[in-house]
Amino acid sequence: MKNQNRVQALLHSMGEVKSLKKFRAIFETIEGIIFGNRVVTLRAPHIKDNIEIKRYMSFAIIGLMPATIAAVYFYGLYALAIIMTSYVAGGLVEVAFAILRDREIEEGFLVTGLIFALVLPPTLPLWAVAIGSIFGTFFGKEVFGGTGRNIFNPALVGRLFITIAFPQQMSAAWKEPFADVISSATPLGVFKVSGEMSSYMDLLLGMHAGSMGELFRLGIIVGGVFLMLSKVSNWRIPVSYLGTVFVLSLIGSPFINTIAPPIFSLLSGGLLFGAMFMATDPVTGPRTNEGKFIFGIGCGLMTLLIRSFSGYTEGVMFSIIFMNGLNPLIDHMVLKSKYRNNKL
Amino acid sequence: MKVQNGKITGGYEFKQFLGQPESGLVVQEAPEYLFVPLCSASLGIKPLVRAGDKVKSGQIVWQDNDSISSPVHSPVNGVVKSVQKMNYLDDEILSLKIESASSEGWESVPGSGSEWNKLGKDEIEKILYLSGTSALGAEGIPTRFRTAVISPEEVKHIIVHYTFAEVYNPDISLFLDNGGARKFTEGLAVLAKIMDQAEIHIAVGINSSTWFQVIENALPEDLSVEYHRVKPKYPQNHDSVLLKTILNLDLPTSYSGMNRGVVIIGIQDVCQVYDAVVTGKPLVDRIIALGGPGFKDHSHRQVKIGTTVAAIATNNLSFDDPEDLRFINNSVLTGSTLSPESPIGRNSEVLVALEEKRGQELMFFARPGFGKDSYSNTFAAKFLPFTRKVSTNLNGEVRACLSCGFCQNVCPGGILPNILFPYVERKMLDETVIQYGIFKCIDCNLCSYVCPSKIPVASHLKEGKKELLSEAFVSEKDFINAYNLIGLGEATDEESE
Repeated sequence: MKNQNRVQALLHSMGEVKSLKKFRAIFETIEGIIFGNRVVTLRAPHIKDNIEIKRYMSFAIIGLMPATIAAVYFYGLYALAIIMTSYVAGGLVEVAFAILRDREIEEGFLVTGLIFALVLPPTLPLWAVAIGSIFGTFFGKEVFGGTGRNIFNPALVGRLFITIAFPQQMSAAWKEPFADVISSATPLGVFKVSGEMSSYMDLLLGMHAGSMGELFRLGIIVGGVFLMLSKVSNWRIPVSYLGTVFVLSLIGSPFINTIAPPIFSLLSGGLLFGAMFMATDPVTGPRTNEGKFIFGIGCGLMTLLIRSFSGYTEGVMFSIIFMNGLNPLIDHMVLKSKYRNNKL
Repeated sequence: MKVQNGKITGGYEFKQFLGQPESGLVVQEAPEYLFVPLCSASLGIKPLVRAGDKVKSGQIVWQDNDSISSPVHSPVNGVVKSVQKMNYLDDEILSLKIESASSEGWESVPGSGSEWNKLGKDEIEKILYLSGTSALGAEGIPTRFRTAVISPEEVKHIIVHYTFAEVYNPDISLFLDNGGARKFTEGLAVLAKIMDQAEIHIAVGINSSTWFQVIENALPEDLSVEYHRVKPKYPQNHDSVLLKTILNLDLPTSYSGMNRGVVIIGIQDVCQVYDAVVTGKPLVDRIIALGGPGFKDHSHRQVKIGTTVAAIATNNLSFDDPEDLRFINNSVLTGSTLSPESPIGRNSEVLVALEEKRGQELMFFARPGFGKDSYSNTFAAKFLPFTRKVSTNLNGEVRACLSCGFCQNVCPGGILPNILFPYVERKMLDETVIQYGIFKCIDCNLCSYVCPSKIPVASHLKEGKKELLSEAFVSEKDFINAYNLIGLGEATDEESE
């Protein structure tokens, strides 16, 4: 206890030293991570829940762990290198802004940095990873004022940018797990061209080409359900998103051959990963419970439309980003109709 | 016996917090000095005694017939030392410092006796008034002596509640076991007699079947009550939630049940009604539950009103330095902080002592959390039968709102605190905020409790409501008309005359 106080006092006083004052945010962050908060409540409520943002974000990371471990298992050290690059490059932006604002580094980046890495193709050059991570953190989050104030999912902003900027690296260089050969098609791509479908077992276990984190779907389902049960993510979005895709493909696939059958639709591409970990981002999702259903239904509809009727094979990223932009409108309409008769 | 099940929107059950009150009862001797709260200092009504006067236990020392109030008694035999102002429950009040000589006996209230049934309504009301009993309940018991904002004839319902909704709750077996139920039901009969238009409802949050049976067995034949099984979820004990659950009546913001003709009262209060009317005992003491890890012994205390927190805490603290503790009156979620010099008042029921914890454990966020309470399911305590630690620490750092939605899921008013508070923060208050239901907020503070970003959401909402009222976006009249509130208009009219 005594040593703890000493270290804590040292960290605190370092932030007060004149030459180090600029970096106070960093010392405070370290102090916060190790020792927690020294502040007590001022008035009622005299007690506070134990959940706080560090715990909240740690749980999001735990939920992502099955997918992450699978990615490293499938693609070896290079996958780890991509994750580290994403963290370091985006982290620099985050730290720079923390110093600039003289505010503690926000924990949300730990999740964004990992999600961004996991939605990338496993062959992407590290420089492209760095550019995407920096762009996503800067334009997706910091320009709006940091975690909690951004409109679009920062990981998706980064991925969207490099998809457009480096199309060659982003869409042509897929690789199957454990393989050395570059193959050029994901199951969705194969279906789009030939109508052939991979086996459901291969899809569940991730034995095919794709973005490195979206493959091990069994783990994604486990991680996603874990997050919903722990209340860190809201069940309404995955349920309505996946439900919409399921129902629409069930109705559409017998009549339109570009629409895949329901189970294949659910298990292919980045749908599960997107629905479980990206659409559920509370900051960029709707704030009302009713809005969450509308958001999920919108995402599902958009995903199916893009997959089946556009030049792109996958529509998860576009649909979530598009629906992110609609959120204020969704919330506004929900509130206006929910409280239409309320005067006081 | 018919039992109805009550529903609550949102809410949260505080389970197994460390330092629960235990069922024993210790009668505490009166300390050397007592500080008896009289009235708000702004009211400026002088007591009937002066420094140096001798007082007897049960003697009326303060009385005012013009304001809504009930007489105050000296809780002991002794000498008045001074009349002084002090801070109490976030208000500046006038109080009487009394040096206690003995606490034996009390001056009986005239007219009382077991034959109360033969008395007229006016005589019973007079006993309740003269014994100070009419000060009990959140807003007083209505009598013809201006003890509450409405008259007894205007009361349509009486709700007696033991919801077990707070973090620390008193034990009702002290009042209902060993023949207590007989006194309780007779107290109810007294209330039923003076408020003869009212239906009586009893709402219990835990072991309800047992207690209903105990009460039913003791109930006089000519008295009928309705039983309500409610969830032991906070804030089931708040007026507007009780009204909604039991009577399906709406009550906005911080108005009391009284404003809709409902008297809300606790079990101990009803027992005091019996004591006053049958045994002639004036309101000179209270039974206080001790909660929180700050106390060593958690038995209930029977203390004289005016006993200081320090006197109760002496030799009963688990911390050496009382500076490390915070004392709280009644509710951890909404109660005021008490200084060690603060007295126990007539409406005190629970005294809580919490640790002022300035620092968390090493790497707190990465621990399994065997003793940590949370609305979320991210701590092991949620799934295991361990007691939960509690302190005044923020348990985290203040961050921007993530819109996690916890606040809207626990809100008993069915509103969206995460949408409303930014309007207040950015000073964009207008009709939109009112339309979105800011006045359905009942100040239960639960949103501030569950917030992972440690945002004082409830304080923002409270400030927003105050601002909207002061800028005349709404007025009291609007509430009176929209909700058929009573006991408000007349009061303001008289003041202006």
